[in-house]
Amino acid sequence: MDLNKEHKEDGFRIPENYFEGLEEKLRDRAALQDHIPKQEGFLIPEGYFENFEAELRNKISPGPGKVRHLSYLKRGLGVAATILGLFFLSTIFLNTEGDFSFDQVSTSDIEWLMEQGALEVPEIFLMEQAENMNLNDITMYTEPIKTSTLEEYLLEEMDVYEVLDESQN
Amino acid sequence: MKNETLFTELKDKATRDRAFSHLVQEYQQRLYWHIRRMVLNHDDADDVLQNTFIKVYRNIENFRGDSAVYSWMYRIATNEALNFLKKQANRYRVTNEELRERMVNNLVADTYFEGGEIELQLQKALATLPEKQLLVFNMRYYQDMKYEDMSEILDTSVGALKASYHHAVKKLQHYLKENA
Repeated sequence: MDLNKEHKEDGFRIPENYFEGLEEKLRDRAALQDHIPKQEGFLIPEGYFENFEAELRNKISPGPGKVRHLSYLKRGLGVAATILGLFFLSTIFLNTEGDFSFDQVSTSDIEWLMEQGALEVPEIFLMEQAENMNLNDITMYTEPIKTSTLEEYLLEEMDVYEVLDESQN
Repeated sequence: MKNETLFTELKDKATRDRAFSHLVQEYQQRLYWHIRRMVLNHDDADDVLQNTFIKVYRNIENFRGDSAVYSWMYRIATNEALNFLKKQANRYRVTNEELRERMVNNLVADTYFEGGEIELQLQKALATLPEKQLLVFNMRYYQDMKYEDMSEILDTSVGALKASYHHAVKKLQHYLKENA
């Protein structure tokens, strides 16, 4: 007898394949229920979800005035930090006779550069570039590259720490 | 709102904002808890969630609709959370396991964590799971997600997901029994 059909006629519906994994699910839950607390202990600030969308909208399309001013400031700081970084690196190159390798740059120097933001590309610059980019237009291969694959690749490859590690080895 | 309607409205510039707003309202809590269980700290979860929705918004044009909008969003949220953890591990120059341990230890002083010894013990137990098993466990146990949906999000076969979940349950059971 098709029980689902019978209950559909009463107006009751259940998720597709509901009964299929039910026994397994109950067995696994029963194995854990004596050990796992009902509450996880995580809290959120009051009104967080109520205000979330407004906060998000501000990030997606910042309004004029204060936000724009901060963007310029951030860009300026990024540029200043990059110039500082280039100056530092050129000093190392110019004062070094013969071959230069990354072994000659101490970890503390690199850390100092990172703290100053000299090795970071300003986020606002990346976001502006991303706005003008359409991933569908990239046709390097006959097979299109999945967006998620491309994002993962970029995120992995752009990591400064990894780049430095590879250079040192 | 039905998936097809949502997809059509997201593609249309005239209705995009309204549809996006619907997406945020509908999925913000589910995605938040999905992310929070991975990164543990509220501020980090907030950052990752915002980045997730920003990516969704900026990539709507590229979304082809060959999977459900919700699976697509979960995939982005999962990738964002995993990338965040990877960057943190690189920043502190620790392994994933060491990072997880550090994150659990930080919960003790976290304003947005109210758990006692039992809740903390659970987090310590969860920290022993490999990343993929942790994801599978959270999605199945806490979010009651179907294996078929998880399969689409995590790009893993249903069989492998079931095995992962089963291993996770056994490991947690063992850890919590031993450390009770």
